[in-house]
Amino acid sequence: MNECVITGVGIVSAIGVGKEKFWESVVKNRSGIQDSTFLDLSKYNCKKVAEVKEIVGKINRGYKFLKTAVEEVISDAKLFASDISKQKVKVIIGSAHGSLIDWENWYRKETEKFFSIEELGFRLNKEFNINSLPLCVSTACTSSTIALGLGLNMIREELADIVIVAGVDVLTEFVFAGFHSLRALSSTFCRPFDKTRDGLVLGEGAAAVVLESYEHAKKRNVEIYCKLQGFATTSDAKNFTAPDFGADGIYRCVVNALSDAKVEPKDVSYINAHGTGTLYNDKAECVAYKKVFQQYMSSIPISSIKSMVGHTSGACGVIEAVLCCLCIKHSFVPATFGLQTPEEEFSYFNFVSVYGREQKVKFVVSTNLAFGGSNACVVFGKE
Amino acid sequence: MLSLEKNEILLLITGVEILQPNDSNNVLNSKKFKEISLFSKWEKFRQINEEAKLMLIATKNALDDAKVDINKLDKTKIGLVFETIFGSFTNYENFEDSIISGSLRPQEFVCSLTSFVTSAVSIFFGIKGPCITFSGLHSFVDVILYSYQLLKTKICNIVIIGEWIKFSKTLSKYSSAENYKTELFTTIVLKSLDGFKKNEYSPFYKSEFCRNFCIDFTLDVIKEEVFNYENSLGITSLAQKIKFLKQQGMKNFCLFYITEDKNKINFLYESKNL
Repeated sequence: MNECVITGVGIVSAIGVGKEKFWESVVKNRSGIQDSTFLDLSKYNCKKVAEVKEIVGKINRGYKFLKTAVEEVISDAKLFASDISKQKVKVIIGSAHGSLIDWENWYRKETEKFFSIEELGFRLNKEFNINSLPLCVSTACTSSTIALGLGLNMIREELADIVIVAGVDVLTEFVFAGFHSLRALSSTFCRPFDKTRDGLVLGEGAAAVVLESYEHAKKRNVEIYCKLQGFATTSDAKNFTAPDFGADGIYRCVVNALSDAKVEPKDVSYINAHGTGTLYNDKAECVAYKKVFQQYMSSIPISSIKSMVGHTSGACGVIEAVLCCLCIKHSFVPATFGLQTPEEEFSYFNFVSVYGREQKVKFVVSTNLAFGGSNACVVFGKE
Repeated sequence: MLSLEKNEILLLITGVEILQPNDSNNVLNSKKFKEISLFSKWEKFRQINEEAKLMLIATKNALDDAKVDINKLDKTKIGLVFETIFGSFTNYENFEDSIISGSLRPQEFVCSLTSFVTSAVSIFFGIKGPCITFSGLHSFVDVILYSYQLLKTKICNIVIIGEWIKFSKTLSKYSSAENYKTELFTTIVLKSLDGFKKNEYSPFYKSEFCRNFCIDFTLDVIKEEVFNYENSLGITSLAQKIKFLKQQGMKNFCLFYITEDKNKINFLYESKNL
């Protein structure tokens, strides 16, 4: 079975477009959350979002994000046009809503056209001369985490030479109103794991990574960020919107991903949590981590970047994968912006707050959860 | 000539269901299926949309066809891999209308998620393994390959694959809508038959495999067809073929992919002439 490595990253986020700007913001603990500038949210009592300011305009916004992230990842992985045309390259996109903003504009008769998630993939493949059908995963907020897992399988099973895994989702009034109607949005600020947390803040963005086998990367003589070492996905089979408070599904997911990666819980150097800032999500996650990592939770650093980039729905898995690659590369774990006082029950957890930490990062667990009880977890390992 | 390499497994197709209108009307109504009464007492029944109701019926019927009592199985080892291109656009439209009217309907938002139908099937049947939804109707080969991996690695003992199309105002305006003539909800139940280790090929070939598939030494009694990446609605095409072949008296259907040519999925079945 092939070992899968990550050789390129690309990112579009509210705290920076491009890996350098993004990483600088992470290290400096900056948040991209503020009042919306392009959505009219006057009729809602919550106004905070994490918007991508560098890419303007509503039309084709999702595709612009995706194209920007993929352009960067292709350049970062030193994939030349000849590599792409001669090799088996697969594109997997994870997105909860795809180009919903175009659909919304079409439905409101503001534009003439909209694109399905699959069409975003077709356009992307055409743009970059990728000669295969795109695969699009849409499992709400675990979409691009599951896309990473499918890419890992393809590399392991030699179904492709190169897999570009991307995630994208765009802020729209539709999604904002949806979360607002479910009372999931914070009326103040996103504070994952803080005892005063009161909800999530939506974000938007895209990210992409290049996956290939270790041998393939060595043959191409490209820099390896890290290994994508394990993956699992499970279902709670309980509720449509609330997590399972027993956290059995998340627990099985993390255990299975660690087992797939052949990594012991005690060896994990950092947990990149889903950490949306909602009361129930964060609690269920903590319950699961407590079961998986037991006494090691007091030593393994844990944080969430959703108070920096917002909750980017289906894109969050790959956005956080880019973060994990950079954490391993730069030996740094980020802080949870806004976290001051954790809940008493979990106060012994090694939450990273206020400032990020310079430390060696060998194995990272990154988890995402979604409506419908979908759980997904990936494990990254230093080469 | 069929040759199986390495630790290949076969995907046994043990159950199939297609819900399609059988009259000139090209839309489906869950109320017209007697099976709906089985779901109507479920506490979450009122929260689910028409797509989820129809997919529940299709899944239940495919499991019955496969003679699987799901409650006797380890539900953490059952997976769902579904695909749909247009998801639940009626709910998108309804929620968007509710935004415009200023009276938000949260359940319409929840139902609009592409993965909502898969979640509903997972929650009703208690399926706790991987539950994945692909957006697009060109994912047939990927659906099979992923199911293959779930079964081969023993992550799952059973994988239920499926696809659906439900009409909506959005679909009717969509550029390629003319390709989709009727609503449909398809499910197929897959299990694995393993043991094709290269060195042990002959004994397996003679005993278990022969018994199940009546393959003799010539192998040419096996019908073989190839689905390729270009197929849209591949799951339904396969299900239709199986239903047709069953009517002709054929049985024991399976899929495998050839390691050397991973673009192809092979479909085998036992001929009644044997």
